[in-house]
Amino acid sequence: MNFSLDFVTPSECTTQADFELIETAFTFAQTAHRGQERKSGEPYFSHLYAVGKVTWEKYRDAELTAAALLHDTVEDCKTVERADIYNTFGNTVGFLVDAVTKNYFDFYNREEKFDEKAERILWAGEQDIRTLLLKLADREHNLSTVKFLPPNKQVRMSFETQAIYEPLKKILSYNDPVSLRETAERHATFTAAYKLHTPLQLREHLFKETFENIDRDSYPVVYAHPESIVWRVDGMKMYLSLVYNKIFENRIEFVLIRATAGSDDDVQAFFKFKTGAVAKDGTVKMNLSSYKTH
Amino acid sequence: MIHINTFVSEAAVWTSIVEGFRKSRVVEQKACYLGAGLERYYNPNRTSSGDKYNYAEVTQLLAKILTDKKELNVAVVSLGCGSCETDKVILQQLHEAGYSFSFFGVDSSMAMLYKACEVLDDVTFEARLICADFGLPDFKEELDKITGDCDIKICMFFGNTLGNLDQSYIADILKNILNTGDYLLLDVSGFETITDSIQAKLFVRYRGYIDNPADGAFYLGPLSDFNIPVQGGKLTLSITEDEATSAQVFKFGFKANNSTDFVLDGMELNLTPNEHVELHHILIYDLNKLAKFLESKKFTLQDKVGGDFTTQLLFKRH
Repeated sequence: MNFSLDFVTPSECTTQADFELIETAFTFAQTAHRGQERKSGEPYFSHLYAVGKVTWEKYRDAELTAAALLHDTVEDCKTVERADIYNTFGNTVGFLVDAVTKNYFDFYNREEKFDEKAERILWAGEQDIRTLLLKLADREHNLSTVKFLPPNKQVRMSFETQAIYEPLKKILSYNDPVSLRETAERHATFTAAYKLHTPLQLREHLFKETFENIDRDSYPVVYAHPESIVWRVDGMKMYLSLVYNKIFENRIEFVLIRATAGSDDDVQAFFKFKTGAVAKDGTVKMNLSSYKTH
Repeated sequence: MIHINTFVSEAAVWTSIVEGFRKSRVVEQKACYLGAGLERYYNPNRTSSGDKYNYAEVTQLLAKILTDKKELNVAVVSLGCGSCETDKVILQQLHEAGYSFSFFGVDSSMAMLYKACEVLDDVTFEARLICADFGLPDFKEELDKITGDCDIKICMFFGNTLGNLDQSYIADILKNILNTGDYLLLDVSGFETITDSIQAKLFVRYRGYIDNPADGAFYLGPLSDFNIPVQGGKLTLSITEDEATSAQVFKFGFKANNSTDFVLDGMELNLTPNEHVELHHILIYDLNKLAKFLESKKFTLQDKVGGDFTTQLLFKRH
């Protein structure tokens, strides 16, 4: 299947250079991903096209859209390195792509290092709000084809989405987009209001909030094999908030809890959800209030 | 004057503990009570030293059996008796109430047994102490010899001592030690059902242990005795589930920060960075599951007293 750059025209761009940036990214990504397929059997580029299109439609930002088109090139194309993106498309697009590229604990030509993906992307969001918008667009499209992934990956992606990205969507008004400046202001206001000074604090806040909202939030994903996934929360406060949250009563099972002398931060609790179930509409629900039997 | 029979020397117990540690980096729990462990165990600053014990109900439980067996010679065998302080209170009450029995206190720590001699010095019932490892297969033979005059045995585990051992292994040992019609009295920590919130409360409690210097000194004691510089690491706590009984196992351990060299019984050994040593377990039972497990090992639950954390269960060997 051939794709053409039909969701943006030069007249819609602020400058000709913006259009050319998107156009170059479009061609670069299409070439890099040639021959690749998604698990669903579609050409891989269909995903990049979809993510590029939605970011353009929501935010009309050339760098964000270029990054959206390029966001999997480093991760999935052997011939493309991080440096190629930075050198070809500039530092801004390079950073956006870098931020959503898995398997790195640092950023190209930067000193910061991170222990986990969520912390890394949240830090990147503080530097440039567009990294979070790109991630949300990427995740939203990936979830639409989640059923083609192995069950354990489905659950992992779903829980991460529920715990991190659903709350972020609300904070950034992603479903009802506002300008990039206002989006960044919303992010800054939120982190200031809750005194979230580090990405780790933000992640924990989002994660905790999702426990409060999990009954209300939609969970339109397959949740077939909860027993195959072990989740972990860190810190005594997080562990106790999980234990004493009525929503999780009788629904999770702790498999290991551990601590080290000297600090409650070292507490780690590993748990599984007891069951999940396939609903009649083909989606599968977590075993929460939306529980449905087979 | 109380006599101590020696089935096994403390030196032999120490040697087997050291051997086990060398092979698997697991310290057998009895190591905590040997030698200087006595002082560490009775440190009044340990968290559990403030725990209260309900003697009256346990006394009544034993009285029921002894009433039924008035014509028989009854051997009351306390396994892992330590200093016999609990045994003394209960058994002296029974004896003063007119019940007759012979008491045998069994422990592998000679230091504990010396203290037991002092504790039992003024009791009016017949008491003997035995230095032995009841986890060894030949213990039954030795015990049978010493309790040969008795018609039935009541084996007791006080102070959650049952949890100090591998559950399937000790159940088989008990099945072997006790004959049909004998009794097993377990004093355990447990609940009818262990919910997540109960588990969390216990976790917070035992989490406190690893930050308490007196508790830390007790758990780390054997490592100090092994010449391991414990300041070069941290106490750890984890909870898992015991496969045999489904009890919650609170495991205390030690994690070395750095490579640690030490000499143990003349042998040069090393702990690698982040190497983990298992030190001590506390088992908190789901009481119904424990009863089911012991039923599968030929012990039928007869009675139960206490509750709210500390419970006494009486089983009969069938």
